[in-house]
Amino acid sequence: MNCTEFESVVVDIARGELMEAAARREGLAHATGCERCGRRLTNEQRLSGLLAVAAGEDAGRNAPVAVEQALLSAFHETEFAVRPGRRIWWLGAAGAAVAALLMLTFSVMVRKPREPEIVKVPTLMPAPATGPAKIIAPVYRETRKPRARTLRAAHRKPSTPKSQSTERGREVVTEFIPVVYDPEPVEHGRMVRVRLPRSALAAFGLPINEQRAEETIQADVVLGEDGLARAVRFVK
Amino acid sequence: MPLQYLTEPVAVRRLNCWMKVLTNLADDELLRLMASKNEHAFTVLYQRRQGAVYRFALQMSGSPSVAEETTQEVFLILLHEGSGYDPARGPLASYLYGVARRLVWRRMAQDRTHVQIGEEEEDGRMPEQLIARSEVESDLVRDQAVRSLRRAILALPVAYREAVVLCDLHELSYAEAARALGCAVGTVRSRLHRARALLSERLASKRSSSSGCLV
Repeated sequence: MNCTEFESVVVDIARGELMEAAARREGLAHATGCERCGRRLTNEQRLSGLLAVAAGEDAGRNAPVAVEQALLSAFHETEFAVRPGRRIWWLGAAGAAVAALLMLTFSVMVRKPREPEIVKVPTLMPAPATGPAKIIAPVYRETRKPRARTLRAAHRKPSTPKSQSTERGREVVTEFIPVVYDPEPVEHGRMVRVRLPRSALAAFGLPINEQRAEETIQADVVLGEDGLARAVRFVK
Repeated sequence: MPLQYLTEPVAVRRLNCWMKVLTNLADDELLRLMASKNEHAFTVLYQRRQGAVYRFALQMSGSPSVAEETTQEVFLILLHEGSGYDPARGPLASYLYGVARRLVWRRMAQDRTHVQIGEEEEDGRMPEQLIARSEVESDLVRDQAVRSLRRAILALPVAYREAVVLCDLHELSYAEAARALGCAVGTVRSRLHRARALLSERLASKRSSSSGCLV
């Protein structure tokens, strides 16, 4: 280590600052060999000693008690308009409330049918009381394909054929087939989409393929206001 | 009266227990409690930090009244603008030093009555010259030497003075001082080196001049 390098570490050595052990060792060795740098280190150490004495004398100095009393008075008068903890709490609560409100609104908008859940179904006339049973062949007509195969699908407002074919694919349905004999025509009811065994077709006198009897088939069931099934149509 | 006699110690015990809990809390937690208008938290925080703030202002200004006012103002600012303190930027102690520093600067700019080194009467003898003398005399000389040192510190340019006060009198590390001063560690280091060089020069010149007088 030369004198210039020593100059850069002499203060740290004199102050006992944390430094590399090798640098300290080299600095001390240089101070031992170099008279000028040795004096320099001694002066710095004396200065550090004097500063330590001054710091020690000051260690007991504190602000007068009157300052604390004045501050306590000010503390009691302070309104604490901004309270970090509370502000955060209120912000969080307000944010959560707004978020919950938005979610609730969104949920209602999504779930709520645009019309009441009652859908208009074709008038079902009772079958003639006399004469042989008439087998109705499944005559499918095109309608829209429901997005979800759940009861929710039946809650949706029936849309126009144009929108059905353009917006969501197509599906083919039969005419509504009365389930029970009811002299009163069904004007309104609720329609739900269900899956039935294909064998259910036979119950309505429709032809089935026996090899596929175990498969299921979609059907729209019309429920009367009393909750009983009034009519069914099959969907393909 | 008996009821009061019975309940008072319990209340005092609870208060002492609470104060003990508060004493162990970190500055940030005390500050949060203080913001919730907890007086005890404020008291604990004040008692913990007022000494350093007061001493810093005193050592920077050399005036007890300035130190007193500065201490009061620093904690008033903490009361009213405590939310302005950001723990991510450093510890509360650094923040308080920073506030105190600005207040002392402002006050010194208003007064400009800080002491000049050449104006003071002094003995001028340094402790190392009096090693063999009696203890009383040695103490006296040491006191005078410390007084000379204080005057020399007060005569330093403000930036150098801050470095000496924080690093040597308050024993902060370079990094802590840098946070308080809002500058780089290297800047603090170089300021401290320069400040100490100036102090050594001034003390040595006094020593030599006083030696001349003695001769």
